[in-house]
Order: sequence, then C-alpha cells, then structure tokens
Amino acid sequence: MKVKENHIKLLFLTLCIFSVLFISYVLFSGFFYFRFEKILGSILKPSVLSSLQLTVITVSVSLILTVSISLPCAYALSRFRLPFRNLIETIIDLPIIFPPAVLGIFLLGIFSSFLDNFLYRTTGIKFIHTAYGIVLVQCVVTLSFGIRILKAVFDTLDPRIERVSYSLGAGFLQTFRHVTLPIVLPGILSGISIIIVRCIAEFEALMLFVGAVQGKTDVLSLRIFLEFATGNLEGALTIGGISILLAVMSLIFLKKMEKARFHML
Amino acid sequence: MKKNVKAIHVYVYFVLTLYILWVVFLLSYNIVHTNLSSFSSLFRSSEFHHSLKLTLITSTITTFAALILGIPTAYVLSRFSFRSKVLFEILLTLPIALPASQLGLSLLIAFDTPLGRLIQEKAGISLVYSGNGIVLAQLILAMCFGIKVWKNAFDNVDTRCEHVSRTLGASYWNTFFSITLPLARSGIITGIILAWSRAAGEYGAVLVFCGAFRGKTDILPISVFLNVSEGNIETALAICFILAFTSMISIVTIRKLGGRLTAW
Repeated sequence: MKVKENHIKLLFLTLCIFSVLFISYVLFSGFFYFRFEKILGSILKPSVLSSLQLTVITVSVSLILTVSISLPCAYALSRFRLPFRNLIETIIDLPIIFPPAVLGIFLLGIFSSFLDNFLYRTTGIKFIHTAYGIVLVQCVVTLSFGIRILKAVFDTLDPRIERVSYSLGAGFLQTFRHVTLPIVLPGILSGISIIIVRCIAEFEALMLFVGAVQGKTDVLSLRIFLEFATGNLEGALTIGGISILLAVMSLIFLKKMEKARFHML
Repeated sequence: MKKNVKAIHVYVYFVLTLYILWVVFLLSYNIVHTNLSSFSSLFRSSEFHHSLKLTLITSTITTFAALILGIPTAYVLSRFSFRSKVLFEILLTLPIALPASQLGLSLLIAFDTPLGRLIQEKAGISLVYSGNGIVLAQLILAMCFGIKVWKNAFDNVDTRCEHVSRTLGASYWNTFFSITLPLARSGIITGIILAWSRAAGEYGAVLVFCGAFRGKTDILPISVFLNVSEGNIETALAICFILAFTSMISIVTIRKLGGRLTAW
C-alpha cells in the first residue's frame, strides 16, 4: 500500500519536473548557441536603447491610466450594491477572455472607420501606427484585468476592521495610514506588477493595431518580431533576453508581494 | 466629511458607467458596420473551412496534452513542499509573462539547433514550420495558463477531506480521483475552458514558430492576421466575431460554474 502511494507521488513529480525542464529548455537553450560578447555588444546599440525607452514610457503611461480607471471601478464593484450586478461583471470580464487579436481587430475596425480621422481633426492625435495607439491597446487589454485583480484586493479588506479602528478613537487619516493602507498595499502592488507584465508582454493586438514600424512603434515585443523578420537572430535574442529579465524580475516581486499579502490576512 | 464621501461615490459610479459603456461600444460598434454578405461569403470559402477544422483539431489536442501534463504539475505545486518550489512556479509562469513573439523565437531556436534537430529526428516528427509546431506553441501557453487555474482549484480543496478519506481506508489514488478531483471540479473545468480558448485564440508564438501559410498553418487567428495584412478587414472582422462568440459562451459557462478568471 505504502509503496503504491509513493509510486503515484513519484509519477506526479516526474510529470511536474518534465514540464519544468521542457519549458526551461525551450526558453533558455537559445542563449547557449550565441556568443555572449556579441549579445552584449548589441545591447548598447541606439536602436535597442530607443525601443527600451519607448517601452518604459508607454508602459508607465498605460499603467497610470489603467490604475486610475480601474481603482474606482474595482471599489464600486467590491463595496456598492449594484443593479444588474451579474450583467455588469460579465461585461467587464469579456475583454479578459477575448483573444487579444480580436480586441485589436475591433479597435482597428472602430478607429479606421471614423474615430481616428475625427480625433485627428479635433485634437491632432493619430492612433493607428503611432505610440498613442500602443498606449491605447495596452490599456484596453489590461483594464478589465486590473479591475478584477483590484476588486479581489478590496474584497479581502473587511470594512469592520476600519470601523473598529474608528471606534477606538482613531481619525480618518490615522486609520487609513495604519490600518487600511498596510492591508491593501501588497495586493495593489502585486496587481500593479501583473499589469506591468501584461503590458510588456502584449504583442498580438499591437501587431494588428499599430503594426511593427521601425523606429516609431517598436516596443520590445514588436522589436523582437522586427529583428526576427529581418533575419537578425542575435539582435532578436538580445531583446528577448531583456524581456525575459524584466519578466523574471516582476514575477519575483509578485511572489514577494503575495507572501506579504498572505501574512496580512 | 459626508459631502466628500458623496462626491467620491458619484465619481466612482461615473467612471464605472463610462468604462462599461466603452466596452459595450468596443464590442458592438463593428456589428452594426458588418454586412451579412461578408459572413455568407466567409462560410462558403474553403479556406475558412480548413482553418476552422485546423483550429478545432489543434486546440483540442493541445487541451488534452495540457491536462495530462498540467493536472499533476498543479497538484504537485499545490500539495508538495520542496525547496525550489518558488523557482518552479516562476518558470511555469514565465511563458505567459513573455511577449508571444519571444516565445515563438525561443521555440524556433530551441528546435532549430543541432540538439533540437536531433530530438525531431529521433521522435520522427517535424515541428518547425508545420502543423505539429502549432500544437507545441499552443501547448506551452495553454499548459502554463491551466496550471495557474488548476493549482488555485487544488488550493481551495480542504486537505482535511483527503485525510478523512485516507483514514477511512481509501488509497491515495482513490482519494485523488473520488475526493480531490470532484471537489476541485469547477476550477478544473474553468481551467480547461480557459486553456482551450487560449489555445484557439493565440497566434503570436505560432506566427514566429510556424509562420503564416495559407492552407497549412492558418488557424483562425493566423487567418485574421493574414486577412488584415492583405487589407481585408471585413473578412477579418467576420472571423473575429466567430472567435468572440465562442469566448462569450465560455465566459457565461465559467460564471455559471463560479470559477475565477484571474489566477496569477
């Protein structure tokens, strides 16, 4: 009996280790076939630096927009008694489950038919094939996701805790500073790191809506495709390495925050 | 104080309403502007039949493979404790956190090097620029996505139920199949639906790893991409409506099951 149990556990563990090894082989084997000095040399190219700069700028703008829109929405969904709650939540969930390609095409359909011309005439901003479009796509793809994550954070905060703090004589600011913020902060930070990861990783909707234009819309994900399409595998791998590094750093941060959040509850 | 709170409430409702209106506008605007003729010509074209069939076949195979690898992996991550578990979790999340183009590139390099070619020769299948590669590219994404959801489902099962089952004399295997799996059922089905729809809607990795060839690697999202790059937005929109419709069905099913969408 005992032997059988161990056999099953061993089988499960083998499958787990197999999938981990498989994924690590796929992700990292490429780096052993190229000279490191060549990869290091192409990091400092101005084209790579400019695409890194564009990524940082677009991702931070999208992050600010996403958080500032999804915080109130998440708060409303978590705390208020809404009519048609089920319908509202379904509508908000839709952009999460839609393939990014579909969102990209829907945006393209709207903007290419009238909105882009209209906005260009009124405000002078064009979205298709520009950096503004990158921010738009990143926001559309991540907004619902951000709302869901932040709603989960607010759900874990019991309103009674705040009321207890008030009843013990603390003021609004004191309660916020010493009770609300410490509980919510790790959750919000982990939500932010997930949003950043999603923004950096967005490729499919961007490819359809803004396209990969050299020196204009080449954020990291599109730059990889550009370098690959022009046959420069080393350049593509260099940028791929940067994006892997960014993703790993955010995931480690995310794990730390989740641990902190777990301690808070 | 009271006035302040009221102002905040009004602001919050305003933002929420605005966002919901935007999503409805985004999804419904194109319906008004697509005529039925593009649908009927799409349904009659043999290209569409081929890519629909290819999508259904590849994503179903992918989902089965993801189940076989993913359920044990998620179970191990949820129940066992060992030192490098965090490393495992990060590695298994990495493919979702990377740009799809980078994933495709990694696959291409991994299977186009001497070792990769040896693997393909020994296994007797060709992966690069072929239909088999589609399954592989989809599998990595769908599996990592599924593992997140399934691990969450296993985490939510009370281990005490398993212990009780063991003390009543059921074997480990029986406990897993008749206690753990049924209790985690809704999460597991949610994961299957998500993995399937992820596999059917993803094209970035496939685009780099397998290329976009008419009649060979054109799963539905790839044929959307091909149509857009040829300037046929009408046809691309029609295909997108089909993908969007399947997503809507799956979201309604998931909500009925009470599953969670955002498992990170």
